[in-house]
Amino acid sequence: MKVLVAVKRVVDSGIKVRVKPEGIDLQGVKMTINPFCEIAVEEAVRLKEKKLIAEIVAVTIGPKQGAESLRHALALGADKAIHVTTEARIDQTVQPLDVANILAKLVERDNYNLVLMGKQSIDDDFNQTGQMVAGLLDWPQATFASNIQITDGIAQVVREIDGGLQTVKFKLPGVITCDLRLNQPRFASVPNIMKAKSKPLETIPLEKLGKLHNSIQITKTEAPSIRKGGAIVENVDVLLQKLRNEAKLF
Amino acid sequence: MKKFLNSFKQIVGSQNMITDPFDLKPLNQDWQRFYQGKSELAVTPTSTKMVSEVLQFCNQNNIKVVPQGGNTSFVGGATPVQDELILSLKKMNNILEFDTTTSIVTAESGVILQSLNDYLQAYRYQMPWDLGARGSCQLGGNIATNAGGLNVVRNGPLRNYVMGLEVVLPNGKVLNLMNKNRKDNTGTDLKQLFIGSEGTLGIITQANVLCSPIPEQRQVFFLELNDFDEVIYLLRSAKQFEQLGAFELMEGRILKRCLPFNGQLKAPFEFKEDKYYVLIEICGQQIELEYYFERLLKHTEQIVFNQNESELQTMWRWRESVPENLHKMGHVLTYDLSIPPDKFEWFAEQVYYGRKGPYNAFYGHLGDGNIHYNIIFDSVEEMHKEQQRVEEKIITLTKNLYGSISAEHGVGQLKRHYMQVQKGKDTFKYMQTLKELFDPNNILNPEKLL
Repeated sequence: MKVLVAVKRVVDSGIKVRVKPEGIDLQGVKMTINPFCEIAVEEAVRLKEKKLIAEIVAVTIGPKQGAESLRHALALGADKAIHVTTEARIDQTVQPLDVANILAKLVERDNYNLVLMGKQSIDDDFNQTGQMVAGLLDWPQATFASNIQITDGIAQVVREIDGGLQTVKFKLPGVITCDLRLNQPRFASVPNIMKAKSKPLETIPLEKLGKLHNSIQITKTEAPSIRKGGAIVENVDVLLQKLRNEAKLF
Repeated sequence: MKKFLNSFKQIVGSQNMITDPFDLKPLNQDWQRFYQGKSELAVTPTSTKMVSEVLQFCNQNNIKVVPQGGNTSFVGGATPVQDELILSLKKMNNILEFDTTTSIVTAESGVILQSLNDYLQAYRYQMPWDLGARGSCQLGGNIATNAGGLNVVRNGPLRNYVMGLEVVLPNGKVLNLMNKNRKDNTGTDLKQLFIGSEGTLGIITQANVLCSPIPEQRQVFFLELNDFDEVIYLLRSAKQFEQLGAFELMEGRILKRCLPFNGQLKAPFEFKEDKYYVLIEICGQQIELEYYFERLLKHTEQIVFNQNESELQTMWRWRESVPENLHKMGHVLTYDLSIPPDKFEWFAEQVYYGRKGPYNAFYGHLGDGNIHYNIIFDSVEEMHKEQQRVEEKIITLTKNLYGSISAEHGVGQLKRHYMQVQKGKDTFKYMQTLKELFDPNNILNPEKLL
């Protein structure tokens, strides 16, 4: 069985972002693999270790530094990588439907049995791409996976939903998007990152697989307002007065 | 103390006095809860002038005083032994200026270390020393202890970075040793006396500190080694790295025991009792990972490294959680010593042959030869029974290795009685002479250090 794992390179969530009018300042900023994508890679590796899948191919869309995220995926245990190159801003211009179309093209080209992805990326939080890939391929999907079992070509996925947990079952091929509690990705080891260098990495310019329509326009980017300190009030009368005159609630 | 309450009210104002026993409780006790003071009054002055007036009054009336910063001492240095007046610097927490050309910051001694770093970050600078207590410890306390910490292997000691001090002497006189010059060779450097004096010669109220630029990149490696010789071999290689930021050792036997306390924290390895774990941080501009891969792989294949900020913090958390987890494991005798780095394992073997006996383990700033050696007992009784024998053994071993009985934590109450042995008669006598010179009435931090 062959698995395609899509990974996105995003701003490292551990650092403080700088906001400019045209968007987040990416100049010299530390980037890393999207946490949910990393969970997807880890899950693929665990499935391979259980001998349920034979080959893991990691794919990313982005500029040449995007290859770092692929090398990370290879170091964690992916077998091959595909780098779809573009100079467009992946946090703005590269959008879910276009990504979904490109991934669908690759699925048709290479015949994967399973597509594993993060549920959403932490820069745009769209939470759409996995769903769209399934739609375009007319495949079943299970999103927000917190547990995945595969037996005889049937995937059983526990999904985290608002009301609790939902278990769905479908016959592969299909799309699964991964949520936080699915697993804890391992640390990459130095010997494995060295081995990753000799694993196959295919580079394809984006135009060969699809197009960026840029149909969603970002009109404004601003930082959240700075939280003002609270105040302790002496009694309910003062509270009401503040709610009326300062917070202007009524 | 009751008869003086009105006088203190005149000097500091009642808003800067703490008399409620409930509020005094945390000030009377050290964070490890080894020591219990009986102070009935704490004052929280807001200016050097106020500190000066308090000390002058205390000196005239033979009132003993304990200067207190963040109260994070490991040796009972910041809490009263009896009912001394607690003089807390916490309200003197202003950062006065930062000179972007000289990178010297001027601040009051009550500023918390983390606050200084938060302020300096905007200028892309940081404090040159760093320690686990950064969220609570204060500048004055750090300087009074000559605090060590994680950056000594890279930056050298705290002393190198204090350019100037303002000190209030026990008689109330304000000694102005403030200085923003990088170089000053005009005779005896008096401020060095106060650095590491643990509040026994004067109270530090302000300081000029030379700051370090924030490294552009940081990379952490966590390595697993099979025996102590491999660790020393690795240390020798690492000391050649120009960008070496930290070199910390943890025995497998300690990390394994930390597992139940660290919950979901991602472990770099399946920690094994008989292995040794080293955290190496590289920091600087343009870190060439391949350079380090090549050199580190010569020592072991068991190396993981962080891919992002979150993993970097996780790796450090394993190291920094050791002290607090130790105390959850049982009743701990803990020793902070300087001995030759290649003797750590030998040292532990001398205390407990074959590493048997009660559970014992070491960790520490191996790069500085600073070992934190710990013995964990299941009961307080067992601990008290063993304490004297073990301590004498440790002090003797340290002395024979020409080591130090306190690498970085200071002496405080805990190691006072070993000072004569550690320093030798002559040195000890000169230290006493200096104490008598500055504090003839012995009002400042009595029963500490000497």
